[in-house]
This record gives sequence, C-alpha cells and structure tokens, in this order.
Amino acid sequence: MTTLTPQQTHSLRQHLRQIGTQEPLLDELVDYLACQAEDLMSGGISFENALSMIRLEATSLAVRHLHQTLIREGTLPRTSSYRNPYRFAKRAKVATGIIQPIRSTLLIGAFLSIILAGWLLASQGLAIPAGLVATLLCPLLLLLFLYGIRNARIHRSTSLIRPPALREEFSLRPLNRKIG
Amino acid sequence: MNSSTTEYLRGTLKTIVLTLLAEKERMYGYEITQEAKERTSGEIVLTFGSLYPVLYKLEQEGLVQTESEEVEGRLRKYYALTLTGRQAARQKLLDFTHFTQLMNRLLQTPLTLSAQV
Repeated sequence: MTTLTPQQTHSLRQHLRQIGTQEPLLDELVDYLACQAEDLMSGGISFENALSMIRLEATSLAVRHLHQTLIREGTLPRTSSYRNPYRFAKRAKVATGIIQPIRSTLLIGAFLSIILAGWLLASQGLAIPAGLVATLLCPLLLLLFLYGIRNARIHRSTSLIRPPALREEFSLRPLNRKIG
Repeated sequence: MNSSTTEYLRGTLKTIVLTLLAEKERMYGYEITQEAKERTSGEIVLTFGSLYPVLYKLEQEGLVQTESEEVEGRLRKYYALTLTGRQAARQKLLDFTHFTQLMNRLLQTPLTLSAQV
C-alpha cells in the first residue's frame, strides 16, 4: 500500500482550499482524497495522474453542493461570505458611524448659528427679542442633541438592530430555503 | 451505476451506512465507500458528496459517535454506532427487508406478463 508524502498531502489540502472547502470539512476531505490517491497509486498510477483524476471528482461544484446540503440539514453552521459576521459588523459600523456624526454636526451648527444670529441682532439693537429666541431655542437644540446621542447608544445594544450574523442562534439555525 | 440505481440508492443510503457500521467496531469515510464498492463489485460507488451528509446527520441524531486520530500525518475521523444507532440499524434493516419482500410481490405480475409476451 502506497503512502502519501507530506508534500503530496499538502497538495491535496491546497487543492481543497482552492476549491473553497471550509475548515470544518477540510481534514476529513483531505483524508478521504488521500486514501483515494493512495489506492490509485497502488494500482501503478503516478501521484500527478491520481491528483488529476481526483480533481475531476473533487470539484468546487461538488464541494459547494456538499456544504449546502450540510447547511440545509443543519449539520454545519452557515459561514458563507455573504453572511460573514464581519461584513455585517462593517455595515452596522458604517450605518451608525457616519449618520451620527453628521447629525451631531448639523445640530452643533444650528446651535452656533442661533448664537451668532442672536449676537448679530443684539449688535443691531434688537437684544431683547433675539435674546429671548436664543434662550428658548438653545436649550431645545441642546436637548435634541443629547437625545440623538442617547438613541444611538440604545440602537447599538438593541437586538433588533444587531446584525443577524452576530447573533448566536443565527449560526446554528438550519437554512430553510431549497438550493439547487 | 445507472440513473435508476442512483434513484433507489438515495432512499436507502442511511440503511446502507448504518448496516455497514453495525458490522465493524468503527469505520472512516473512505473505508465505507470502499466496502460498498467491493460488496457490489463496483456497481455502487458512493461519493463524498453523498456519504458525508448521511454521516453528519447520523452524528447529529446521536446514532453515531466520532473520534479523530492522526494517521500517517493526517487527521482521520472514525465513525462508530452508539447503542441507539445499533438498534436503529437493526430496525432499518428489518424495514428494508420487509419493503423488498413487498416490492417483489408487487412487481412479480408485470414481470410474468412481460415474459409471456
């Protein structure tokens, strides 16, 4: 019985990685294909030819189909790039990380504009009405600003806005849709 | 292996794997495919794409337990039946034998007719 060298086993592992085999299945499929290669080599076939024959069976389509079957049956967690938790984390970061500074900047801008307008009006001799408006509007805008910050914090911790891929139960839930 | 065999095989794969595992203490993936191939003189060849979903499902159902061992520098996963798995294998085999008997009875008439024609 022929035994594969570590380099030959590495070639099989590399092939499986190239066709998109995911980590939970990798070791098992390496052993499966290595056994297959050893069988072929025992029959007098060179490793290169055995590898070519194996490549015909272990295609990216075959591996993808196996992954999808295991995911559909709930025996393997979902780890496709589309449902990658990091992708969702990035999207969430973009959503809460850009909108909030823009909102804050606009509020601070409005707050400063009111003060400036009040100061300009006061310099024109309209100190009492402008001061009254500024006194009413400034605390209101300040409250809105603080309310905006509070909301942003709540959103980050709410499970509804939390990316589904980051939830524990999501990765364990079987895929219900039919593939194929 | 023709398309009809593949079609029949799909429904009996679990029975095949359970029965093969019941005969040995433990088996690994490639060993199961080779056993099936040898016993059917190469008529039934299981691919990894059809075998592993069954093995993983059996493990999930608690009918099979696994243990990994390093063999010739690579990790090999062995599958062995649990006590429940042994009972399930026996039951599956009985069910399948009963089913084939029914099929033989059911399909006897058309075969006789075709022989007469």
